[in-house]
Amino acid sequence: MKLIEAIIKPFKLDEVKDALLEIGVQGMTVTEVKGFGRQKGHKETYRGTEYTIEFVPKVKVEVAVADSLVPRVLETITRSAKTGSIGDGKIFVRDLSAAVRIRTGETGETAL
Amino acid sequence: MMVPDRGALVSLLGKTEGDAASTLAEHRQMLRQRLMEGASGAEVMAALTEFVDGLIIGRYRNVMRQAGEEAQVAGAQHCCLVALGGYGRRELAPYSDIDVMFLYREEAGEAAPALSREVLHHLWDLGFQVGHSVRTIHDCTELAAKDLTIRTSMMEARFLTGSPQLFQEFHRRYFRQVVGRRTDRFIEQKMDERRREYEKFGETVYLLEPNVKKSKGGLRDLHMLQWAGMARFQAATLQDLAGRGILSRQDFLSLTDAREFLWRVRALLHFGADMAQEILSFDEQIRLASLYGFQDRPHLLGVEQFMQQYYRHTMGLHEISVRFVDRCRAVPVWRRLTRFLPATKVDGHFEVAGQRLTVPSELRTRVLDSPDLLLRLFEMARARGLKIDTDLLDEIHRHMDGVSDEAFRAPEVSRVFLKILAGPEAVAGTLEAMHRAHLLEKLIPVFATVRGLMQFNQYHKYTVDEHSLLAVAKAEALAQDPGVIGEVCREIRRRDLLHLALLLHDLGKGREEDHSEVGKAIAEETAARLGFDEQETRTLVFLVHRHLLMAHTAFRRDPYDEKVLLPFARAVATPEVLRKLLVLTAADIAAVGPGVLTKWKESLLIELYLRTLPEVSGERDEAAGPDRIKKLAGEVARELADVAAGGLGWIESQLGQFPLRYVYGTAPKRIAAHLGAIKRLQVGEALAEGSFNKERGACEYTVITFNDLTPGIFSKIAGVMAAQGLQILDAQIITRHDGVVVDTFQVSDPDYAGVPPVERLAATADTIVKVLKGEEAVERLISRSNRLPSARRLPTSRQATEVQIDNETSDRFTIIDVFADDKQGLLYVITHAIFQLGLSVHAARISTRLDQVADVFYVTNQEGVKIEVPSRLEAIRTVIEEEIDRFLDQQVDAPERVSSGSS
Repeated sequence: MKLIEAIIKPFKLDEVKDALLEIGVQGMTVTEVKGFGRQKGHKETYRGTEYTIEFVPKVKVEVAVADSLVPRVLETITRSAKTGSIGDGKIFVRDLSAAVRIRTGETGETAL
Repeated sequence: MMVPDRGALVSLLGKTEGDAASTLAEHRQMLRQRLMEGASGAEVMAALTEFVDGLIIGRYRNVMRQAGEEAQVAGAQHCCLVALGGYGRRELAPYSDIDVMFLYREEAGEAAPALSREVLHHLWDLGFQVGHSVRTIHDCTELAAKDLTIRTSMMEARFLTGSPQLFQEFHRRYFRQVVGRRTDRFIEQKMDERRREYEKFGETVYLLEPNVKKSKGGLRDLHMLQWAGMARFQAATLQDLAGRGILSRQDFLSLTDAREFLWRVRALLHFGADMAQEILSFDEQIRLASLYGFQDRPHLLGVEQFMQQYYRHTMGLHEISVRFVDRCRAVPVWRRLTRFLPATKVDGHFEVAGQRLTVPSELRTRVLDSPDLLLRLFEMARARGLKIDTDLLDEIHRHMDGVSDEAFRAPEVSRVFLKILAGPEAVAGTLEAMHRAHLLEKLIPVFATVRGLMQFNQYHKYTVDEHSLLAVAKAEALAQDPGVIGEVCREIRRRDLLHLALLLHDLGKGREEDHSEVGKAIAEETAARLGFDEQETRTLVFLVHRHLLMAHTAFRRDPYDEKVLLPFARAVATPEVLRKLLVLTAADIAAVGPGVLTKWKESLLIELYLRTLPEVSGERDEAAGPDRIKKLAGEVARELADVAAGGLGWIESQLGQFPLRYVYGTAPKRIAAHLGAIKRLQVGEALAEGSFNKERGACEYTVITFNDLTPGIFSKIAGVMAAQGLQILDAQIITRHDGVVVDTFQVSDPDYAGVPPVERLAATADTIVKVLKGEEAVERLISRSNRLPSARRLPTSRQATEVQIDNETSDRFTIIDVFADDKQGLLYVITHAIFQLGLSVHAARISTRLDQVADVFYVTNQEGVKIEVPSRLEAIRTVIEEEIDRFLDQQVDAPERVSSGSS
């Protein structure tokens, strides 16, 4: 099992969600996050006052999936979250050692 | 009597207790059944109180009997059991706590703690949450002085069993020494306590998942009234208050109705959860709504009808309670004040005493019958930070039910209403008071229909009316925000329109059609009622109709995509509307519930705002500060060094002639070039120069002259460009304070794929100079050229042309915003129309992207002043729009002729 964590542009969320549901992802966790990558933050000037936007607003999508689904999920997110311009985001994959469905107590891949 | 041995006693007690527990369970079950079958909350509470009384009294007597003679005497003469708090009021809900006090005299000796312990343990074993205390009368008065909660709970003491004489003595002393003393302080403290409770359990009656006891409008508000009544008037019950005429008949009936409603709901909640559940959750609302027989109607769910009833009761209860408590504390304060401070008459009809505003009784009828005076009353309270007398508010409320809203359709009424809306302070508070007095719905009739209308989803926390009023409060709060949104908020000119739009934005809810569409009609109707002019109407209708546009665009679309940005800019059209929409969006989100407007959401909104602003204002950001001018002058001087210009001082004074947006938006090198040209410029001359900008892949023309050289300079240059077949992509029109004109144009030249030859650039520049100096007529050039109806591909579907006049953004200029499909020669058509209208263009920003133009013109009349006459403004708008449409349609109507003409 892997936990796939994708940091994407906020307005891409619907597209990514729909694309993931289409390939059989059962659920996801979505968080409003802020951060920066190579894009860094930027400064906005408004009426002569500078407002530093150090961290850019992004959305974090987390999905836990069976190993077999990982390549498709990565491909799907990459395709649906891409605009081609700077700041499209990143995907991180981590090993997932256990999963439990709280209601039933099921564990492992059946709990995903 | 045989005294059983200890072991037998324990087993006997165990048995009785087991029996008592099951009897209690059975009794609860029976009450649940009765409640389901329609018994009232009051019935259930009384029955349960009686049952628990029986258990406790029985237990006390049993213990006493079994404890020997000495204890019996002590128990009957020197001790008694007293019910306190809600139990004292006989208001036990199925799983309420039981608050009992064991009162004793020192003479009781050892028997007292033993007796009290036995009773307490019994109650514990039955599974009650028990509040338990053992006190002497002296303890009682002493503790009451120190602890507000204890003081309150003992006010409701009720005798259960034991020595009645002891209880009477307690009661007498307690009321003499505690309840009747320091009443003002007690009421103030209770109000503070209640206010802290509001903070914790909801500042509004219209919480979507309210706590029936502690939220605003909950049972606690009723207790508050009773405590205040007891402290001030020594009246133990509502009947007592009503009987003595302290509480009006109407209030008494509303209160008892609301009380019964809440009691019953609370009993159902307790039974539903098998515990003291006080929160009316979404799940429970659905269950109760169907239990009460509310049916889903097409556009109003059963649960929404149920909750509307709930809110009506709690709102009524809260209002009566606040008024009543206020009266309990206010009377002496007011009298004390007025003894030294005679009420001052203001404005002929009103009277100010301390912080209170009222109307003397002989003038009341006149004020109540005059919509105009009523509005002025609220405006005065707002402007001076006064509180309108609660009795008067009450009277207004009663009076309003019989008044038609037509009476409020008058220019003077509208004027005062807008003044209230404009603030700047206390707008939301005043509107809320008007809503409570049923006055707001006379101005906005739809407001009556959304009173207590809930929005059954997980997202909103408040009902529609509360959300709307809260949104206004949030907008007021945003004006204090140090960030960009606060800054934008402070720049808004017509705050009244913003606040009105916030009041109206969700009023379309609860109907079949899309709420934005219904809202649009409501906004139109309101604008008409208030006698708005065309521009005010358009702004209000837009803000209400499209109140979700900015949130949708910012959160779901890419602001760096011009296909997103331009339509958004086109819809918003002016900086002032953009500013209002930003604040409206933020305030709307903030008013959904605590913590909903996050910094994350704010930053997305701000990003869209900053991206859109240049598109609608024609201005890049304006920085300020003399330091930057000095620094810039230095940089320009370095670029100018070879020209041997007049030195730093001269450069600084030259920079001072330019509008700020030029100074901060232009590279030093370019400024240097312009200054060089200005130095060369002779009176009556014009300089024009063309060059190719490799980075942009476009030609750039700079024209420098004096604005009095000829009228319609901009239009003439645009005409030359059109005649030459050039496509204007971008233009910056600068008129310096001293009348020097510096215009730059970015143009593409369809005749040349790459870099156009120098002759071509020179020829164009030359023609421009000739036209400006009157040596060549632009009309002749155009008629000679066969290019105007060019072969340039038109977008397949034509978008509606949009011309808007913005008279709010600038004090000196009227701003014309034009959005249209692009076509070669369009700019000439527009500028020519502006010229024909006798207007002069002081600044402009032209941008063309994706076959769309978004042009902004800052104009004045020939005297150099802003146009103010509404009919004239409307004429300007119509003429320009018609000219554009005529020009664009030419080609659409006759495509064959065009293609043959250009081949």
